[in-house]
Amino acid sequence: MTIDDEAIERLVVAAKGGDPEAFGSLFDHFHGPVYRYVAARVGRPSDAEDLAQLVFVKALEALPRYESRGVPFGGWLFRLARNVVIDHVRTRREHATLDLIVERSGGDEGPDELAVLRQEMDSVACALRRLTPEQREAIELRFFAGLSAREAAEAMGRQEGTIRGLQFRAIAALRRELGVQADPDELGRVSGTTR
Amino acid sequence: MNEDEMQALEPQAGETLERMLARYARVRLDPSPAQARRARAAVMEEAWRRRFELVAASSGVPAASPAAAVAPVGRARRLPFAGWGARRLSGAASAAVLAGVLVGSTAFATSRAGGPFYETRLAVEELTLPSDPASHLEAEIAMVQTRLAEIVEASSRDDERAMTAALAAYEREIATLGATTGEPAARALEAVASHRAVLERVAGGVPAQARGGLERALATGDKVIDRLSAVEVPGSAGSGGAPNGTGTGGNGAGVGTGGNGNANGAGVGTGGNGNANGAGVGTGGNGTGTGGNGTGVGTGGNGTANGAGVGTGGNGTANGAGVGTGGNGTGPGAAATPDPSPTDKPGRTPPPKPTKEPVDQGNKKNATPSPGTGKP
Repeated sequence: MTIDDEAIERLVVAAKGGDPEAFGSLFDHFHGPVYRYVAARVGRPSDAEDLAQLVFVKALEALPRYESRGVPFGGWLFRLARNVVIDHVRTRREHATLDLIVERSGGDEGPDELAVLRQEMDSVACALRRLTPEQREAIELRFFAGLSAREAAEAMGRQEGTIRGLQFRAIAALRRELGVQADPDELGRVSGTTR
Repeated sequence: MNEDEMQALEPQAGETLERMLARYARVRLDPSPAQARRARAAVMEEAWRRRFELVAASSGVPAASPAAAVAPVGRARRLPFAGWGARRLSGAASAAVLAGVLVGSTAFATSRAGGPFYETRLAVEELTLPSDPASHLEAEIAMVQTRLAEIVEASSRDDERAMTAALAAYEREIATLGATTGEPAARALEAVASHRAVLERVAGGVPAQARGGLERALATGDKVIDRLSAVEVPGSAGSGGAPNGTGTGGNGAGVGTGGNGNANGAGVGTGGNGNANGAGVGTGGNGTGTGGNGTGVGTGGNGTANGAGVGTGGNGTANGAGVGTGGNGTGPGAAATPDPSPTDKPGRTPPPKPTKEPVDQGNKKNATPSPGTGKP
C-alpha cells in the first residue's frame, strides 16, 4: 500500500481524532516496514510479531500527544519502535542471530537457486553483523524500513548529517564484505533528491 | 570523500547492493500474511476499544464494546405515535449525523451499510464483543439497534443497497439474540419487541427491491419474540391497561399500554402519558423514558430521555449521549441535534391527558404483574 506524505498526515489527523479506520490505514502502510526493522533488530520472528504489534498499540496510546511540527510521522513511529526494541533487548538479554529468522523465498526457486539464495542471505547477514551497531541500524532504517535520512535521524535521535555519514560508511563496508564493486556515479547524490 | 561531503550527499548503495538488501529483507524479514493479519486484528480491536472509551467518556455513558458505543444511533427510532413527516426525516438525519460523529469520518463512509467494508466492520464488531455475559448481551443488543438505525437511515435516503445490507445484517444479529436464555432473555425480548414498530413504519417507504428483506427481518423478529417469550423468567409477563385507560406495567420486562402507561424495570409505557423507568421506552403525549443504565427513548409532545437516549417531540431533550429533536431540541451529551423545524414549536402542548392516573406502580421485588385498571 503506497500513500504519499500528505495522505499520511490526513490519516494521522483522523486517527488522532479517534477514527479507528484511519489508524487501520496507517497500520497497513507501516506494519511491514516496522516489522522488518524489528525483526532485523531482535531476530526471532515470534518476538518480532509481538513487538511490532506492541509498537502500534503504543502508537495508539501516544498518538493524541503527537504533533507534527516538522517531524515526519514515520520518524516518530520508528522512534517508538526503537524504544520498544531497546526495552525488549534490555529485559530479555537475549540476542538471537539473524539466522534464526524464517526464510521465505518466492516459491519459484529450484534447489540450486535456493542454495545460491541461502548463501547470499548468509553473506548479507554476516556482512551486517560486521557493521557497528549504529551503522547497522542506519542501514536497517534506510533499506529495510524504507525511511529517509531525515526520518531515520528522528528515529535514532541523531542529526540528519550524522545518519548520512553512518550510511555512507556502512554501505562502503557492506560493499567490501560482499565484494560489490562501487560505481563512482552511485556513491551519492545531492541530499533531498531521494528518500 | 570527506566527512562534510558525506553528510551533504544522500548515500547510494548502488543497484547491486540495493537489490541484495531488498532480497534479504523479503526473504528473511518480511512478516507472513498470517502474522500481519493477527497483528492487524489485535491492533484494530485496541483502536476500536479506545474509540468507544473515548465516546463513553465524553458522553458519561459506559460503553462496553464498539457496538455499545454506537448504540445511541440505534435508538433513534420512530414510534407509532410520533409525527412521521418532517420529524421523521429530521430524526433520521440526526441519527445519521450522530452515526458520523460517533463512528467516524471519511474512512467510516466506506464501511457504511452497503459500502465495500461494511461486512468487515460487522466482523470487527463481532470480534470485539466483550466476553462478560452481561456486557456481551448489551453489546449484542446495541449492535442490533445500530443495524436498525442503519435501516432507518437507508430508508430516509432511499438507498436500496444500504437497506438490503443492513436488513441482512439485522436479521442475522436478531437471530443470534434469539438464542439468549435465562433471565437476560427478558432484556433481549424488550429490545427486539421494540424494533417491530420501527420496521413497520419503515415498510411504508421501503424500495420494492428491499421489501423482501424487510419482510424476512419482520418474520425473523417474530420468531425471535416467540422464542424469547417462551423463556421463563420471573416477572416477565406484565401487560397494560385498555386504550385510554390506566395501565400499569409489569415488573421486570413489562409492557404498560393505555391512557397512562407505566412500566417499571425493563418496560415499555405507551399512551397519553407514557412512563418507563429502567431501560424503557415511553411514548405518548408526554413521553418520558429514564434509563437505569442510560437507555431511554421518549417520544411525544414532550419527549425526554436521560442516559443514552433519544428525545423526540415538541420539546425533545436528551441527556448523556443523546439526540434531541423537535421544536426545542436540547441534548447536552455527546451529540445533540436541535431541529428548528417550523412545524414543531417550542413548548408544544402535548395531547390531552386521559382522565385516569396510574393506580399501581409495580416494583421489581413484586414479580406479579398488575393488570391495567383503567377504562376506555
